Amino acid sequence: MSNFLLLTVFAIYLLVLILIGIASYRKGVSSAEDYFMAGRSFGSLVLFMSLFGTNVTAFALIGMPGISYHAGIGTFGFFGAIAAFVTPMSFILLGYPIWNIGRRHGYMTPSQMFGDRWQSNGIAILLFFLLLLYTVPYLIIGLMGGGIAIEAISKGVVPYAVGAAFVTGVTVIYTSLGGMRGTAWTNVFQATLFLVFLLLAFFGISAKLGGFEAIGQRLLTEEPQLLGKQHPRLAPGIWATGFLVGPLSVIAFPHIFLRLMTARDSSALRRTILIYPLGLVLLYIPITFIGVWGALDIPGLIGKESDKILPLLVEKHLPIWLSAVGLTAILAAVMSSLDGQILTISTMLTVDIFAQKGHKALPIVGRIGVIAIAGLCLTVALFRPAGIFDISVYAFSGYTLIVPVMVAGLFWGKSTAAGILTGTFVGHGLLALYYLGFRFPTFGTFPVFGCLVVEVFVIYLVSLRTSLPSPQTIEKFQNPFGKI
Amino acid sequence: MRRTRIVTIAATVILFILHNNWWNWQPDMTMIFGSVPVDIAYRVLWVIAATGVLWLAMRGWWGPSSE
Repeated sequence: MSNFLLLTVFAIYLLVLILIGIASYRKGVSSAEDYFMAGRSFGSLVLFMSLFGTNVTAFALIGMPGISYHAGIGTFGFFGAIAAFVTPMSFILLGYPIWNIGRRHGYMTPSQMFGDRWQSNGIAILLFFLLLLYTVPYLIIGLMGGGIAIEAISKGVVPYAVGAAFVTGVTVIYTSLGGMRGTAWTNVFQATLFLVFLLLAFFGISAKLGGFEAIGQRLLTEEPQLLGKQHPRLAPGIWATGFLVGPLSVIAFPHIFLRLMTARDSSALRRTILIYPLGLVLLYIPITFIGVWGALDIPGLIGKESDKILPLLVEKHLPIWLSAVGLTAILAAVMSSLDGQILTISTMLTVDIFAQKGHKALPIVGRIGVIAIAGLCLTVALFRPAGIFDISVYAFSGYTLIVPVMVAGLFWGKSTAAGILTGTFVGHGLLALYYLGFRFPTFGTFPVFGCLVVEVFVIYLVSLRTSLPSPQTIEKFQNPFGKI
Repeated sequence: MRRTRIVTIAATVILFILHNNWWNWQPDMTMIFGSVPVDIAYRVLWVIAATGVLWLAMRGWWGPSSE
């Protein structure tokens, strides 16, 4: 592939991002609410694309086709279909109350909201620490993914370290300039880019392989096992509890939490939620098919080698310019999550730490935070720490264990600070022990399932035996679905 | 609203059972229109039904749309 063409497409992409960052900076006003929350002003389109772009990571374009290459058509049901229901349902039952109460009392971060719910600095600090623990490894993996993608795009002309630094630099420019508005607007562009590319790749590759019917017949005769769910990844216990890891944890991602609070009104949220399933279907069906077609067209890839199946098929069957757009689309998926994570951690540091010390949460502090966090994470990413991938697997389950805290805070008036603290320590502690090697029996389910049951049980028991926060505090969280 | 919530919860339980279609774990050798695997068609119909349940849930918990 022509390096010049690739680098030109890539340069245009980066230029568009910076221009969007500058435009959003000009539109913004100099207040914390505007910088961190975009003045809670997003309509349906920007809200949907920013949630979708942040939710979809490079895993969707790289890891998912790699899995369906081995596991087959069932991958869509396991990852896509269930996410198309559970994630929007969590937005309805938890996201709306978070938006509603956040707007009512001016909350910006999970620690701020739930620390206040139980009048507990301990809960605020614990949530802050856990969210940081689960989010920072993702951020570092995102930077590493950016460096690897650019190294691949340039065929090694741009080394990994320079690529990672470049991705960090561009992300910092548009995130620090535009804040929430800048990242959301760029997400609209990025999500459009990877969705359009995926649909073009889907139809383009199928045409080159002889059309849908011909591929279907080959699948029946050559790889019929890909039409079932025999792969160990799709075993019944894992299948039944799979919604806990991924679809349910999304609502606890701090970058999703913050974005939900930017909705202009309930109509914007309503429309966003109703088109969310369609967005996920448009993403996951092509991705699943592409992986399965790859098993027919380029057989013999072992283990993680299949993660390259999308770029391999694109390079083999599609025109050079589309390959260039495809690699840029992968980078777009990386950066659309990265910007949200960097901004969110900067918001948490500014609101939960800096403002708590009696200072004013100014946009300038957030901007400095964006630069500092990106710089620190880039430094770690340059060393390519191997263990970070293990932490990220554990982190997804960790987010799920924050959901009971949200549910108790929003809907259970009898929950107490002691109950939440004890349950959280026990649940997250068990999960950490499991991933540190203390393998308790899971009965064929995801380990987080057992941890979740224990956590909920402990929150319930301890809350019944300890004292409630003041009635005024509980009052603030009454009627979470009430109109404002 | 209470009745809508009950219907939503019942529909969610049914959706969960249909998602875990243990009775159909073997490869289905049928292609709908010659090219669409049965499992994909099944899941797409499931998502359409799920979108209906999401709409119900919004009515049940948020109230009717003001639009």
